Amino acid sequence: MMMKPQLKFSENYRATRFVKKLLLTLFMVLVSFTMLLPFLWMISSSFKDSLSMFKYPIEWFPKELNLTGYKKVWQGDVNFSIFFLNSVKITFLAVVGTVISCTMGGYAYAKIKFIGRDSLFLMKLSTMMIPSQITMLPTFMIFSWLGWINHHTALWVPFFLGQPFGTFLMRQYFLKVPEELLDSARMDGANHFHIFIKIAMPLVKAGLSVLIFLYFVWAWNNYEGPLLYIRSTNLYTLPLALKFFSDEFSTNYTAIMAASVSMTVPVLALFVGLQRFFIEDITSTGLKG
Amino acid sequence: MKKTELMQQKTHARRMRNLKENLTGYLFILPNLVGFLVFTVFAVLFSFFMSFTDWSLIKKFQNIKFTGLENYIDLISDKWFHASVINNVWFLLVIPVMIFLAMVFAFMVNDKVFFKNTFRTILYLPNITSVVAISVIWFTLFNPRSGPINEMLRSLGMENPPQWLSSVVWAKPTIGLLMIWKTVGYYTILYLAALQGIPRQLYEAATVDGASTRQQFFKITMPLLSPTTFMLTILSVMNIFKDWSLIQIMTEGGPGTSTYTIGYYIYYAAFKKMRMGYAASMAWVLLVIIMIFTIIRFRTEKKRDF
Repeated sequence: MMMKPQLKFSENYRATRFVKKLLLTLFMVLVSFTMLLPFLWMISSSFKDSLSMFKYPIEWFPKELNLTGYKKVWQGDVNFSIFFLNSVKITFLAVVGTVISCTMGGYAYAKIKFIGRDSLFLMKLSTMMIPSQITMLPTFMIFSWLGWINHHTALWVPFFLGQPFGTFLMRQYFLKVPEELLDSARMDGANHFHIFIKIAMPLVKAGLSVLIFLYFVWAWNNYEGPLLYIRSTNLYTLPLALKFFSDEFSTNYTAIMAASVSMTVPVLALFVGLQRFFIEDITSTGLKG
Repeated sequence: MKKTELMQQKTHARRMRNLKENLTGYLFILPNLVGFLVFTVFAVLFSFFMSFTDWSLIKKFQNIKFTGLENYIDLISDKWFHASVINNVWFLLVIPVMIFLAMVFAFMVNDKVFFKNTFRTILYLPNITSVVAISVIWFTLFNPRSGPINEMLRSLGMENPPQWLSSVVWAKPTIGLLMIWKTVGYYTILYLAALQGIPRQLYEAATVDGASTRQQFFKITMPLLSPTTFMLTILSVMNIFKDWSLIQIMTEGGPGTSTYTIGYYIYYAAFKKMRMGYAASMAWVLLVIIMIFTIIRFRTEKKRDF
C-alpha cells in the first residue's frame, strides 16, 4: 500500500503551512476591509451630523447618536415609507412573475417535446447577446402606447413575460430531474401540469431559491426602469428616491446616508443571514449579476 | 379489415397525444413566447427601423420622417460620440485588472485561507447593493474638499490631492475603480464555480513536486480557468460598453466629455435630447462594436488551444 504523500511531511512542514495560511488569511482580511469600509462609513455617517462626518481621522463610532437623518428620511415631506412600499410591491410582483414564467418556460424547454422547441430555445439564447439599448427605446414606445408611462405596470409586467436568463437557469435545473421519474408518473396517468407542480418543482428547490434571490435583488435595485418610466414622486421606488434625495438635499449628507442605509441594509442583512444557503448555489450555477 | 382499423385507432391516439404534447408545450412557454415576440423580435425590428428615421418622443407619429442613413452619417462627425467611443476603449483597461484580481481572490477563498465563507460573502456584498447607494457613498468618500480619501492623502503629506470626479484627468480612473470594486466579488464567485471543477490531485501532485503556491497559481489554476476567463472577458466588454446608470448618477458624462460612454450617450440622446432615431442608430453601432470584440476574442482564443 502506498502511503498518502502528505503524511510523509514532517511537523515542520505542517507548521509552515499553517503560517502560510495565516498570512494569506491576513491578506484577505485587508481585501475585505476595502470591500467593507464604504459600508461601515455609510452606517457610521448616517448617525453623525455633517460636521463630524468629515472630521479626520474618521470617528467610526460617533460619540452621540444623531437621528436627524433618519427622521428627515422617514418623517420628512418626501417620505420614504411610500417609496419603501412601492419598492416592496414592485419587487414582490416581479419575483412572482419571474417564478411563474421562468419555471414554466424552463420546464417546457427541458421536459416537454413540442415542435420547434430547440430552435426556439436557441433563438432565445442567442438574443441574450443583444445590448439592452437596442430594445430599450422600442420598449419605451410600446409602454407609452399602452399608456403605462408613469405607472408601476411598466415595471413589473415584463417579469410575467419571461426573463431569458431565468428561463435558462431553470431549464438547467429541470434537465437534471431524472426522466424515469416523469415516465412513471405519466404511466399513472399524470399530465404535464400535474408532473410539473407535484414532482418536478419540489426537485428544483435549490434552483428556485437562486432564481428568487437573484431577481429579488435585481428588482429591488432596479434604477434604470423607474428612471425611464416613472415621473410622479409618489410613485418612486427606493433607488430613484435615493437619487432624487441626493440631488435635492445635496448638502445634507446625514440624511443621504440614512436614506442609503434604509434601502441597502435590508437586502444586505437578508443576504448575510441566508448566505450559507445561497453562496453554494450561486457558485454552482454561476452567472447573473 | 379489423387490423387496419386497430392501426388507424392507434395512429389516431398517437396523433392526439402528440397534439396534446405540442399544445401543452406552447401553453407552458406562452408567457415567454409573448415576451420574446414583443420585447425582443418586434423591439429589435422596430429599433432597426427607428434608426433610419428622425423618431422623437415629442413628435407626433405623422410627422416622423424617414431620413435614410442620415443618423449614421451624423454619428461620424459627432464629437460626443467620438469621445464616448474613446472613453469606452479606455474603460476596457479595467478588465484585465478586474479579472486578475477575481482569479486571485477565488484561488484564495477556495481553500487557501481560514474563514473562506465569510470572505466569499463579503466580496459579494457590493454586487447586491444598489448602484445608487454605491454612487452616493463613494461620491462623499471621493469629495475633493473634505472627503476622507483626500483628508488621508493630505495627512500623508500630499498637498494637492486629485480632484477625482470633478477632474478631467481623474474622473475616468475613479469610475474605473468603482467598476472594479463593484464587480470583482461577482467574478470571484464565477471563478469559484470553475475552480471546483479542477481536480485536487493536480495540486497535490504539484505540492509533492515542491511547487510553491505562486507556481501552482500561474501553472495550474490560471491555464485551467481560461474558459471562464474567456467568458468573463466577453461579458465585461459587453457590460462596459452598455452600462450607463453608474455614469448617469456619478458624473452625467462630465466633466466635459471625459466620462461619456456609448451606453450613457444613447440614454442621453433618446431621453434628454429627445432624439430617439439618432439614439437607435447608436445602439446598432454599439451592437456591431460588441460583435467585433466578441469575434476578435473568439479568434484569439482558438489559436491558443492546449
